Amino acid sequence: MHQKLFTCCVLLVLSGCAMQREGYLYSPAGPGRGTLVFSDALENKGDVQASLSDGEHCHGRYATVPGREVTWDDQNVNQIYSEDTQAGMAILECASGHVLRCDFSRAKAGTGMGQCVDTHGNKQTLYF
Amino acid sequence: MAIEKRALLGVLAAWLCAGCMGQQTARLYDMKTGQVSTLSVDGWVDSGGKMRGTLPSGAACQGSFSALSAKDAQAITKTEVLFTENADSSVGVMQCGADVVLRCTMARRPGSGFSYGLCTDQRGAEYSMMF
Repeated sequence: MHQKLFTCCVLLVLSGCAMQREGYLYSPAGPGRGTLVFSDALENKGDVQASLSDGEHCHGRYATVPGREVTWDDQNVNQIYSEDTQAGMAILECASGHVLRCDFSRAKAGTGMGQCVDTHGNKQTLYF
Repeated sequence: MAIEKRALLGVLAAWLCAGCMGQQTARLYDMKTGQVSTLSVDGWVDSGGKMRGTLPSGAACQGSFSALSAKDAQAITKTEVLFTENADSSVGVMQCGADVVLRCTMARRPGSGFSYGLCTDQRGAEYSMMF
């Protein structure tokens, strides 16, 4: 009994470690909005999934680098202590031949915004 | 003799591991057709190295990359967000098949592997890279 409870607790803690971040995709061309979910708002890279406003599903990866605002380490020269902002890119594969790329900037807490363009040339704004 | 064999195996394993650690693979997306291929980068821990792979069209690519300042990377690419002064930037040039020259700008966090990149060929075709 105790073992089962312990296992449940461990699983709960592990699942809680990944902090998903949901965002929205807005198209200037039409009404409605799509959703985009980062697997973890704090990890430097990971999985990302999207559901476009027309119902199309996409999945892919994102990666980040230190943004324009960082805090430098006092002890070590040229060492970043904390990345107060990050720049990043996400590439998602949707239906056959349809790829969506989002360039974004985000804050330490995981909130941010960006611009997306797809293989049809459609542009969307991303808020998360 | 057994010790010599073991030492030889150890050296071989270390050499293989070093090779693996120094290579990174990226997915290359044609931003017009959505086709995908892969590129690999050797020696990403250094300020320069070799690149090879294929275009989504199937043409084999080979070339090299070297590090440059973020300011220069920003000047080369159209987007302002992706390459910041606090990230390391590199530019790679590859010959693909007989008639395509691909120029790639890649970003990575300092002391780490590449994160992503953007490429264009001499005809203006755009590609996105995700490592």
